Amino acid sequence: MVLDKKKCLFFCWIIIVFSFIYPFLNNFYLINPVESILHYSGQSSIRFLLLTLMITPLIKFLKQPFLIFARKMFGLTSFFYVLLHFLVYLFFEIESFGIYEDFQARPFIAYGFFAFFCLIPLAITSNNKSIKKMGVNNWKNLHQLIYPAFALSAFHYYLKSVSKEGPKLALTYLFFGLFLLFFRAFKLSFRSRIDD
Amino acid sequence: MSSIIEVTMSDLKITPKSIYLKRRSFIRNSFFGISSLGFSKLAKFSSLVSESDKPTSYEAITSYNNFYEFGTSKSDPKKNASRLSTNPWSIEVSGLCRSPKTLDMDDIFKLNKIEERIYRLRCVEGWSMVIPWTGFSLRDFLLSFEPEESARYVKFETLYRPEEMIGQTSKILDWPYVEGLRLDEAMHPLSFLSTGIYGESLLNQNGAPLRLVIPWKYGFKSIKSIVKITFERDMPLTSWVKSNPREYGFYSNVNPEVNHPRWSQKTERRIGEWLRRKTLMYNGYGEEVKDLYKNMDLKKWF
Repeated sequence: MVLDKKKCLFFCWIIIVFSFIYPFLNNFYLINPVESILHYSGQSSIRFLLLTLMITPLIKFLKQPFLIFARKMFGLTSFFYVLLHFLVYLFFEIESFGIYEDFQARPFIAYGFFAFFCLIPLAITSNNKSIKKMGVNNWKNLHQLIYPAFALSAFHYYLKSVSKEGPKLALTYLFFGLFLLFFRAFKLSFRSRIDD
Repeated sequence: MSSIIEVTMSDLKITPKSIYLKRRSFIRNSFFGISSLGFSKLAKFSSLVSESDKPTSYEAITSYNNFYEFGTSKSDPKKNASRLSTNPWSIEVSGLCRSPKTLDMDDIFKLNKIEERIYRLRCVEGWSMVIPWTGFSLRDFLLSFEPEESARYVKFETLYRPEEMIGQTSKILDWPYVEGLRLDEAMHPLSFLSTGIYGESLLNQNGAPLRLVIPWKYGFKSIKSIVKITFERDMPLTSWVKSNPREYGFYSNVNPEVNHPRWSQKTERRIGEWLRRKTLMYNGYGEEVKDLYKNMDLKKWF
């Protein structure tokens, strides 16, 4: 199959729309909807972050620069989910006491918050205009924030999951993320040696 | 102390079965299983729950469960619990008592008068329900085995049968599940053994055929599907204390002042409501139980 931009966009939309309807196909748990939405939005945000991280090596490997659109779409979807996650927490989870008190009582929430914080500038500068305005190098440097954002989200989920569903999934996310990071580091050093 | 007990006992009125059944069908047949008329009628039968404590729907009580013997997700117990056979069932009561016995469920129903109690249930995970239990007082039950003076604690154990309790095939806790109470806590008039919910026999996912209900403690203290009760001299090592002593203590009284690293203990979400409400000290049963913990540092003995 020859990949082109159109097919690629179509494929991305299928994945994204599927992520929206999946909870309804799969007995989305309605007895405690706030808990279910928090859980699903958090999971989806991390998964789309991983998908986003996978695109860059794929662009290099397949030599298909148009895949950059897929990266942008997955990145924005991840941000959509983390924003939902944050807003549901803000409106339904903290009631009589503030965020700071909650950070102290439950440190894992602070890690999640910092992850969200790292992703805000990336979402804002995800358009082509910003790349032009900032210059490619500055833009690329800023977007390295995706790595700490990913590490913080995975750690946030790890701390939350240890006793209940177990840390296996969180550790899988972390392992995948590390693998992609190593892959990139290796690629970069390999290329720079050739450049020399 | 005795006056507190008397007042409490008179508050926990027994509902005649006919009225109870009528009320139950009214509640269950009404839209969403709830109605404001049904609530206020129910609330009258126990002054220990207030007007804002509307009984949670039967559907939610029997579908949203923490019972790790059937899996860790809250939808797992309903899915997996039907494999468990609770007939025959026997409960061994032994340890420091003068008349140890092994009973089956027929003995239990013969020996104890079934009554109804509407209690709040607060889970350590920050959610809560209001449950109309049926069952009998733990105090009267325990006294029938004539505990010795040296008995200071009561230990409870859940059935261990991994062929039928699929969660026990994974090592998430050290099976069988163990819980415990100080003897004076167990003898408190609020302490309850339950055999049913909304007048129906307990479903497996709710801890059939016999479970503990301690309304001023986090839900995990209310051990399910009990097969063994032992009077002991020393504090039993309970499952959650064994698995994570930093997060869980022996007492585990509901206490908004003691934080948990993952779940808010200051507030809770009542199942069926969107916004969280303040969690009350001892889950709102402070007047009844606070004397049990006089002069104790509750931050240390959490």
